[in-house]
Amino acid sequence: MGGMEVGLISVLALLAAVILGMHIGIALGLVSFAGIVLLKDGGLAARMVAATATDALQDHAFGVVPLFVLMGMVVSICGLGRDTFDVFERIFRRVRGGLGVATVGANAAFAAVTGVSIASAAVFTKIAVPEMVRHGYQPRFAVGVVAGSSLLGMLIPPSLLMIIYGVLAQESVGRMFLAGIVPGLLLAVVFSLMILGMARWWPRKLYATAGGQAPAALVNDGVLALLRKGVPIVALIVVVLGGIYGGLFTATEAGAVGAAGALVIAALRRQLSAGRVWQVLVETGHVTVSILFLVLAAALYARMLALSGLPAALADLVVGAQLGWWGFIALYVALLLLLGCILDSVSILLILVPIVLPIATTMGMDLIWFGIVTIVAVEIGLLTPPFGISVYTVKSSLDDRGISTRDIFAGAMPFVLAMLVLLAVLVAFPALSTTLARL
Amino acid sequence: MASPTMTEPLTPPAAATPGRRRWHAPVFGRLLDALSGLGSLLIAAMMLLVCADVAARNLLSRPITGVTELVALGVVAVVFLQLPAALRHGRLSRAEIFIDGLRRRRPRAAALLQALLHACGFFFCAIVFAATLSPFAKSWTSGDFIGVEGVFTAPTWPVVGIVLVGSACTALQFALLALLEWDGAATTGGDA
Amino acid sequence: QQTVNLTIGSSHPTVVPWVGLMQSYLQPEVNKRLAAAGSPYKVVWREAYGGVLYKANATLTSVGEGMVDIGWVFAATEGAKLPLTQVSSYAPALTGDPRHIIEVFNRMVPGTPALKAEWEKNNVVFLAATAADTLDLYTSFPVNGIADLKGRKLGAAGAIALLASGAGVVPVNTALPTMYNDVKTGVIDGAISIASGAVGIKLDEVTPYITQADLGSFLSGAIAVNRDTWAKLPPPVREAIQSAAADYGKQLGDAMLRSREGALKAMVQRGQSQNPPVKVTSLPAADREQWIRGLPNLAQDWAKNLDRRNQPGSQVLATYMAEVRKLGVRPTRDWDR
Ligand code: NA
Ligand code: NA
Repeated sequence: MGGMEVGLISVLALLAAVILGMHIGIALGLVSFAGIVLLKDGGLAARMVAATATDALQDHAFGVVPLFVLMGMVVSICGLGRDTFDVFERIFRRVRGGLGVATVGANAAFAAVTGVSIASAAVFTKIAVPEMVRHGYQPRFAVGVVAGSSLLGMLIPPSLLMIIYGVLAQESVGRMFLAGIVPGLLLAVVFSLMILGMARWWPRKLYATAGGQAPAALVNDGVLALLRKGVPIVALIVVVLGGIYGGLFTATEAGAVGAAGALVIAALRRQLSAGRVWQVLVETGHVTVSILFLVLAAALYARMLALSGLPAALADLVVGAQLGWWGFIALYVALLLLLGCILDSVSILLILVPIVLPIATTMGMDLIWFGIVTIVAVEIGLLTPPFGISVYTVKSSLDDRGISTRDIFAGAMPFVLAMLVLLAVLVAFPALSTTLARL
Repeated sequence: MASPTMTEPLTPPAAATPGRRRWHAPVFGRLLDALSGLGSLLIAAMMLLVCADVAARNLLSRPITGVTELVALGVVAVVFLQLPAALRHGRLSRAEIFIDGLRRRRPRAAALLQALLHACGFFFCAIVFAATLSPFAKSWTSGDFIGVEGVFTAPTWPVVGIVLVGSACTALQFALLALLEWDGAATTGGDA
Repeated sequence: QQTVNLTIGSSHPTVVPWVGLMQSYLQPEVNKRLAAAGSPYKVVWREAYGGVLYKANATLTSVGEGMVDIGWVFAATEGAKLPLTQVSSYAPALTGDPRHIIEVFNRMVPGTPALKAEWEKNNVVFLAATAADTLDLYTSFPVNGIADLKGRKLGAAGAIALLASGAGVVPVNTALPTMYNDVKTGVIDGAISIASGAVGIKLDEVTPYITQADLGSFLSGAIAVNRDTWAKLPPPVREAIQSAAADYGKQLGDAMLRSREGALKAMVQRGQSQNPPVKVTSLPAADREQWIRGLPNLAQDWAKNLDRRNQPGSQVLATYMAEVRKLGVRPTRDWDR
């Protein structure tokens, strides 16, 4: 069997195994092993598996994964998420749909210290959904806002996806972070405008009550109390971003400093017990391995694909087909959205980016802009059925059995549409992504 | 990102323990949790080490040598210390849509399929284990290290050893899960 | 005509001169020589450059285990598996001419049983050495003498850190890809680096002060072939590869010199409009000598350490110094004395 055939069959076998329910890391690993056996021999295949296991992750750039996850966990147990929400709730209390906008705003602020969307989704499901439901919002809308705005967690820096893309594309992670700022803020604005628009023109989508009257104010904190709630999160943002851009530490080291900073804040607020620290560490471990095991298995898959010669042949094909710039981008985004339905975002990056990078480079595309387009398209997958990790996170963090997974997917649909609009804007105006990064 | 439940940690999902007989030897489970605990401590150590390096570099102008190398080795160690427990607690990512549907309609077929999928997991981890034996022996006997002599060096055998232990434990956990499902399939009275 | 399939690869992309030359010179040259000799064999190359099969942390084992048949081995980072080969890192600052280093190693490795065995123990056969251009200073502040360097944080990857103490520099272990960002944000004040590397990452944009310190060229790595593959190759193919590899070394030496000149020129040119503009100066000779004399006796420590482990460290050091002197180099420091 030729390399091309092995490569193509491996893609199909991988999809089949994943859909049947095999662990994604195992599916990647086994398909790669079988592919190398067919391309070379069993001995080499086994040696490559073992070599990948020890050397693919042996890179201090991957140290950011556990450290940023740890920071997110500490931030969420010490109540910083709730405080941030309170501040935004107070600011937007007189606006129709204000709690929705508050959720988006709090998510944007929270996103500046967490790099993982599931952290945002889990935290704000606990905080924002009950508040909104208590104030007469449609449960379906409430969970939709939380699921949708959790995407900000990985678009506004720091971001796990940007770190992984940076490693794959050999682009500076610091620059990728800078590139995400404008698109992230833009998304927050688009989401907010959409919510305000819905509140004005389709109040029935928003409010459970027929009239859809603005709810009574909840947080009656004075300015001082509000400041006290806002200061810790602002301090943490200043420490993390200020440290990176002030030359105290690298983007890679920021995870460790941020995690330590969050622990200090939690300790000052007397919300830290040995048991809780331990719980956070154990949870951080579980999340870390679930991400990095995928990275490891996908590295093996990329190596098998390289042996098969498929990526190079595909690149030749796409370049030769004269799809042109727009044709290629359209095809690529469609593929990302399709894969986003069934795979998680990290896996998609790891499987697809090594294949398309050579093509994008050949076509003279700006790899930072390409990365932002990739990340936004991949993030849409967090909200699309059947496998939408943000939706499942909301579901499993929710106490309310009355809200089904289906309701959450439906509630998140407007946000998928808003993301698509943003994606089109970002494709059309590369300067939105590259100006800050190339400053 | 396997299980999204981050607010209720340490609760193994129901899917990990179906069937009637308990194949999970509690001792083995505790061993896996101990390994995972070591991994968690390692994450904390990495955090402290990086912070110490940042502080020493900025305050004393004396960076701690070897942090880069230690973090690189530490990442590999963390993953293989955590892997078996993450599997045990159902935290490795997978798409469960199809198999959940099948479990409702044809529980017996679903159990058999699940057993087969877990057997595949066993097979893959067994390959990692078997193929890592010889690199481990080499790194142990030859005193292999990373880094530069005179600047900083760290031996590689502890990490290769952890890959060995982690892959073996994950393979065993997969085997246990496969047997459990097989057992469940045998006791499920036909397909509904 | 009989075809021989060989996979050739590297952890680094082909923009790195010694990798690029594998693709543009070595590959076609082998077939040219086979054809010229009237041999029935033709090598069909399968390329795996740029880290698609393995990363920089596994270059030696990947060739040894047959993931590629021929590959570039990042020998400078393989201190554990290739201890004797590190001699140029521990006897630094002898010559700024990469051609010298390449020539010395190309003679010394096959000719010294212990060195040759060290490569073969890892299941690879050494074909040709690759060397970096000489080390200079890239800083965000002007350097008039080594007094300006004291206590400054400079990026220094791997064994380059060994040089730091001579000028009181604080070495920070930073890899080339992150160097630009780290200087820009101020994590480091500059780097000890090579021109051919600095130009690619546009380091000059953040370090307008380039000071030619000429801290020496050193062995970066070598092209090596998997030992099992080598044993199975028909003798005419082996000969063609060996002779092409020998000339690859000559080509590379010239290419590295040209690359350095071109890089410095390019950085000055594109940095004209920058504020401050990119400026290339030289470290005063006396300061350079003071720096090198200020280093601890790296070579003796290294050699004695190996001697103690029953490896001919002192002997390899003596051979290395003798070979370097044979090329007319007058060392600033006689590391073997
Ligand atoms: Na973020
Ligand atoms: Na999806």
